Amino acid sequence: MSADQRRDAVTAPGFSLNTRKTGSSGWLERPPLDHIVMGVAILAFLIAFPFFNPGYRFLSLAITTGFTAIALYGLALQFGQAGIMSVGHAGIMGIGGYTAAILANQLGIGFWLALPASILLSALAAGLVGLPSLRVGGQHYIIITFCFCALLVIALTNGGDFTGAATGLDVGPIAGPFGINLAKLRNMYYLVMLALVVSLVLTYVIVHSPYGRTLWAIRENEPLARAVGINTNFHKIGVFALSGAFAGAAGILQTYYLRHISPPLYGAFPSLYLALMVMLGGARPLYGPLLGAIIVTFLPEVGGLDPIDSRIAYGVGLLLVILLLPAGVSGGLLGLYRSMIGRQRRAEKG
Amino acid sequence: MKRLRLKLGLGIAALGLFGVLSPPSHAADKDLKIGVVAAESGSFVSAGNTIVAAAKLAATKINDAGGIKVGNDTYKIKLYIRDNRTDVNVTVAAALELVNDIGVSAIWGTETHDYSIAMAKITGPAKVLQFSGNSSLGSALNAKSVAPGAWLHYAFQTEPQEWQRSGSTAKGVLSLLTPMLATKPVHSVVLVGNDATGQYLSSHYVKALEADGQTVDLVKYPPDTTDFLPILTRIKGMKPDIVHFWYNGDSTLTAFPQAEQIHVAPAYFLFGVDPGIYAQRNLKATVPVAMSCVPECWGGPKRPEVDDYFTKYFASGASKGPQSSVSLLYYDYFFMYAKALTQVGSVDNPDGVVDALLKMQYQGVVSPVPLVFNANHQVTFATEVCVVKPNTSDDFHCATEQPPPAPPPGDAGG
Amino acid sequence: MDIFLQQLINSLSVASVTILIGMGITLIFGLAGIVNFAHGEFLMVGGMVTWLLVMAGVNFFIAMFGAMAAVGVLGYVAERTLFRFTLNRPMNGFIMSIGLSVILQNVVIKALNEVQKSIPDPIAKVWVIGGVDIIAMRAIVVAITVVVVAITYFGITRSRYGVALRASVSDQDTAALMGIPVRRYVTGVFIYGSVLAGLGGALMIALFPITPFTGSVVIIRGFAVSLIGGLGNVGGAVVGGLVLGLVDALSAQYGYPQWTDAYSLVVMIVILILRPQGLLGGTLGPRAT
Repeated sequence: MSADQRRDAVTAPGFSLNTRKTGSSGWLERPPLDHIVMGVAILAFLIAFPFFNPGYRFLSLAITTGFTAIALYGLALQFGQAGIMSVGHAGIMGIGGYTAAILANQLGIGFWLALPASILLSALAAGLVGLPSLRVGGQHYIIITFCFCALLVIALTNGGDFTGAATGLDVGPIAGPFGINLAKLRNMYYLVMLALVVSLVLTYVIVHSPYGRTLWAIRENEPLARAVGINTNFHKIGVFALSGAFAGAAGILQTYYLRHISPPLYGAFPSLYLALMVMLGGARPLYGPLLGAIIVTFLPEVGGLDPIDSRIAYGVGLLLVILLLPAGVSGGLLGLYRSMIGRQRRAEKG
Repeated sequence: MKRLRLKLGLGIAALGLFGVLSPPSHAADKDLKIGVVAAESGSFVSAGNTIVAAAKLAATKINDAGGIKVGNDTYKIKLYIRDNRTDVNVTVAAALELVNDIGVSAIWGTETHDYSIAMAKITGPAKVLQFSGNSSLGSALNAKSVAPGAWLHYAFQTEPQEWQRSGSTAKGVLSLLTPMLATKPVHSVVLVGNDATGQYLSSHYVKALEADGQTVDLVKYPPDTTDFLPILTRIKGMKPDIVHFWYNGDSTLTAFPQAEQIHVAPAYFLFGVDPGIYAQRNLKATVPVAMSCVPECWGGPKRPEVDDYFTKYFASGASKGPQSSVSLLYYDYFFMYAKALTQVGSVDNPDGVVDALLKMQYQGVVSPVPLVFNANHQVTFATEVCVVKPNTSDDFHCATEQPPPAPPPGDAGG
Repeated sequence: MDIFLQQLINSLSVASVTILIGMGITLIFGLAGIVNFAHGEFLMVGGMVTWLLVMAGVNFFIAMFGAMAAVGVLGYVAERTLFRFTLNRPMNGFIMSIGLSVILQNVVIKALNEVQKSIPDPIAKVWVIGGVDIIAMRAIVVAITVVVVAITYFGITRSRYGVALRASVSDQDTAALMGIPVRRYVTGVFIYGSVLAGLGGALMIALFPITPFTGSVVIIRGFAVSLIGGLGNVGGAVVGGLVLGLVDALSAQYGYPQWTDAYSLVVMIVILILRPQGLLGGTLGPRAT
């Protein structure tokens, strides 16, 4: 097996969610057992985390991880399912964040009413930004999304009192329902984690619904999909909008966690790091984006690395992932796990 | 003789042992936990480092002088320095950790308006004092926000209000440059980076120049500009008497030589460029160039206290950069805070400390007159402005300008 | 009028560096099929090498060749150890190049620091011709760019090497059967593009300061220029660079200054959407993705 062949073999989406089993029928495929076990384990850990007394520093970093991962699930849908990369995702988060902040400052509308507005507007913006992708190739589209992000930052910076100009906007704490005080960090943590779990489940549902199968068909062979009557353009823009909805939710959560936002949060540089996290974690495995967010947020803390060293580490990690594990770190782990299970089964049979 | 020496030796050894084993004499001292949040890495590192350096100098000086007497106890300052990595998420995490996990009684920092605001939302509810050197905080500090129970009640702005700084700077620049020009300058162009600080600062500076009789054009450039030639060409077409390079020292040091190449104006003002940097970089111009320092120049003629401070500051390993003097915005307030704690007699009474600070007059290094916080928790002090003779790099003369008594017309203060 | 002429002259020097980087990208992208997002960092490294050499007392014009050699070696190593493994999967190569750009940027920050670096003007002369200031160093930058563009253009269109190269682009297998060492040509083009980035970095620091973050700004303009011009089309990169330079200078003169960067971003988006094949048409790469 030559080097190229080997690489092609591993680049194939072998460890992805999209592994089709023959004979799967029904609206939604039943998740495999290991997915459920993993999901329950993660859920248990997320609930228990604050009780391990992680300290405010780690708890707040966990919140950052949470809303970052939500945005990553959106980007992963777009990249993993439609196969289109963007370096403008932080900009879409910014649409959600600024929607919430502007509603709060202009109309006094709080978090809960702003939430659907942020999600909707972000979805709309993502759909619009996605339009050129129907016409131009992947590289062109990457440059266009980059330009979009840079333009958004310039517009926000020059937006006067409406966007708070370069200084940005402030929001108050979230008015918690049932008297829950969401200014308390632990409660904010649970809110963000709830949103994260919802995103995770939604991602699974989208990927495994008939819609997900349609996307899969488009990605694998677009002309064929079109020939059998699928409106590929409509579905592609749909993925962008879905992806934007996730980013919008992440954006409003970030806004209400930081409670002060300003344009540089949503520039091209943060966007590039979102792309990096998705690729580091893996776009297609269900837990890939979460893993990417955890690695990038916690590696410098746990490893005691300064940001420069940790960024070098991400870069090297990304090179290794592409050269050795093209399905991302989580995909690599998953592959390792499957091959071990497989060996064990063979051993049992033999 | 030998035996005596042996005995003596044993005695000294015993003493030494005793010294090691016995608790140190200041064992009764308690720790006063103070947090510092500043960029020790990332793109704001040169500003962030000055805060850390100032905090270390102040803490060492206070501890070496015996610490802080509060009631019956003596406290030694224990600094908890946290790197914000030039990242707002890390800033928030650091502030939460300092306030809740470590339990600091006060925090110094940060170098950035946005981060300081985000931090104030954590320090305020926790009743932790915050000292920040961002004049742009003036946009948030007002009678309502600093009232007891409001979110900025425990925040203090350690840099003068921008209308004061702009006022004294404009006056100083015009009075130093006018005698060196053929005609009286009437038309100024202010060139400023279009970021949070630039937008806030320039709005006040334009008003200050107008109050001093200038017609002013404000030109904002994108913050990361390195090729200023197109914008400078445009400004040259406006035929200004003075071009004011405002706010960002690094950008100014890039733009100014380009302006000299195409002779944009008969005089320049470089905000925040220390004469020390001008001399160090061997910059020259065929026309007079004024410059100002935030708040005192380390490279120009200075008062003995300031001279003493910078000697110690640079001896501690800090670098001689465009931002070095910013550290002075953070130093004196450690002593003010210590004095307030002593007056209140308790470290657990932040409201009392705020009241004490608001009533206090303190003679610090940064200003020849005592420092006083106004009702909006802001200090006042003078600005030093220098001018260098044409075709020289180090022939300076400087003047200290007091702030005007009131904001100029059209400036709401803040 | 003087001011207008001045802005036209300004736009040339702005365009020069963009053209050099765009040309490197267009060649590597169009002829070798490698999408190298780290190309901007290659330029930045070139500038930093120049800075180090000039600070060590080396003459600028010698340092310039040092930068070209250093970045050429960097390109060779990157192609050999990284990009040759992703030739069949351009998207993976692109992702890897993002990783490489992050590494290079942060290694430079670690080795030097993040503060901007500048060198004294190699030539400080300014000529005044008909009321227009012509800064000697900027004129030299434009002249060097013109020479490099000419060499590259004739190299691609007229020399045997260029013909063979283009043959291997249009049909790799046939070209290989005809005895053209395709792999070696890919490496060659990659090194040449990298050398151009090194030159661009040296010329850039001769005009204005650079920081470790310069690369990420430059790369977008470089990419835009290569896409606007048409991939693999040297003339297209020149046209694209001139268009962007002109938009920059004129928007600084006649637009709202705080929106200066926005005008060229809008122009890029519009051209990319309206003419994805480029203003002058390109090869679309050996395996357009």
